[in-house]
Amino acid sequence: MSTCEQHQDNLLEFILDELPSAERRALSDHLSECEVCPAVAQRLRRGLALAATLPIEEPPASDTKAIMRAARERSGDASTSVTASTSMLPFAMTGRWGRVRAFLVRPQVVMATVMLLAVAFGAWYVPRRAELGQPPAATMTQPLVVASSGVSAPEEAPAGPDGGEDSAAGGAAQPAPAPPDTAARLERGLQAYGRSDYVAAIDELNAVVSAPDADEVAWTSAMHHLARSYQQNGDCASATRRYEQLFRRSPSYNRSNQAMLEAGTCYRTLGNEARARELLEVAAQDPATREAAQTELQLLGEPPRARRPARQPASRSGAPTAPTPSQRPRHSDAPY
Amino acid sequence: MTAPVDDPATDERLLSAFLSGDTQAFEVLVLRYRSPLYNLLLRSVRDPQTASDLLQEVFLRVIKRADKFHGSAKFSTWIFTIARNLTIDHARRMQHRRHRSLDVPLGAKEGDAPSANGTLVDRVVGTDVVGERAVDSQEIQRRVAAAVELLPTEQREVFLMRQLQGLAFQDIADVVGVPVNTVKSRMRYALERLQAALADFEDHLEGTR
Repeated sequence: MSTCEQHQDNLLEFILDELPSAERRALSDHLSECEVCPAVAQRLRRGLALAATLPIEEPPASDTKAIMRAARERSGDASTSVTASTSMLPFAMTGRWGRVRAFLVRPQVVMATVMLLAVAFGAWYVPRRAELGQPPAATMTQPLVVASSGVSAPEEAPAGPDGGEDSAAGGAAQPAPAPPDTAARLERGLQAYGRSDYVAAIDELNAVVSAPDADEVAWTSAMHHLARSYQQNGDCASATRRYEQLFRRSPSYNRSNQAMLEAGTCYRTLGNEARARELLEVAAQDPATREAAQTELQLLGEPPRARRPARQPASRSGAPTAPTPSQRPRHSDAPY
Repeated sequence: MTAPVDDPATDERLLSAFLSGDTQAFEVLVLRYRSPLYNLLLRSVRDPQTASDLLQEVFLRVIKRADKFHGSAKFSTWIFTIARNLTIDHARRMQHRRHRSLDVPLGAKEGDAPSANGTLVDRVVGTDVVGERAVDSQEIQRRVAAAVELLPTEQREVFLMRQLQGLAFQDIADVVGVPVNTVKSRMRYALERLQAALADFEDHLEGTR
């Protein structure tokens, strides 16, 4: 890492006056000598000045009232804590609707509703099962096995620029060619990726791409999602190795341009601008990835600065290549 | 940045007082966090009603789980983690619905004819050359808000937690579950992106300082 890069890592804290004194002195000395870092510092200061103008909206006063009503119910009587949860907006309904709601949540009504639904489901499902001639277990697992053939993303798979693309690969009607264990691991890997559990996804998908019995479709899907998982997990070095493996083994992969866009982004993050440009220029030929790739290329094409810091990709057009909200890891919010 | 309500009691002590039956203590917590949380949610989901609903859900969860809070972490990181998880859940639910495109005019439905409202992208890019007309502070605020909403999610959440509540980078790292250096990088990228998106306003800002 160059001296400038090391110092630029501390620039924000320097500006915010949160840097320990020793590092502060070192950075201050560097800024007085460097021709590049002062400009970066200036950009950050301007960014902070703009950030300070972010308008602050006030939440509706009714929110606070509803919250406090629930708090009082909980605090006043432990037995009303359940009521507290149901009296909160947006679910709260007062007056006539409140009485209707109160009736609907009575245990007798809830139980009766559940039983009716169970009977209705049984009436629909049993004849259907007989029509299909399949045992329930097979009916339930079949879509998963199909998905695990590597051509169908799990239900929770992100819907970013690449979202849902695999389902278009045409394998939905195909039987799962991968052996059961590999197929199951691919399925688990894709599901883990879909719920943003990248560590679990990496574990499962690594097993799939290493399996000698993985068919081409399963291997390709697993390798692409493995590379993405590494990328989402912040490990671009491992991600680019997987992308390169994917490009070498499956040059005709129908999502290769998307993969090239992602890999190009990763290379840019790593500072390998030459390889990033190479891949992004290919991705820019594809209408599906052109806009995002061109945005990335523009960022590469900015006037060179000495080891400018890597940035996450995105475009003004709203076609971010960064993770979609649903790709963010969700952490337990249990009290601690 | 929103300054916290001036109250010497720590969040943890207020929560403890609430568990002992002091609802006023909880009200102080609500007043401390309602605005930063609402703005975090609003800039994440872009819909005031949804943000309002989620805000209440955040506090509802705090109320329901308060007695399980043992104080081994900060209340602030806990409540922001709840808010963040709710935005993730919301985004997942929205995946199954048709998304509002950033290129659709604001206030219009997709498929509608173009209107003069402009899109979120337009709000950031702007349609007027600065200098050809007076730039008022509201215009700057609108474009800053739009630029923040267009930040990549990872950068936006870090930016908002820092900007709205002044959370320490380490606390944000605890909420997001990434190393603190990653949080700092995301904040830096967010600021650079903001500066680049609104470069045409810099002269004006310089003049107002």
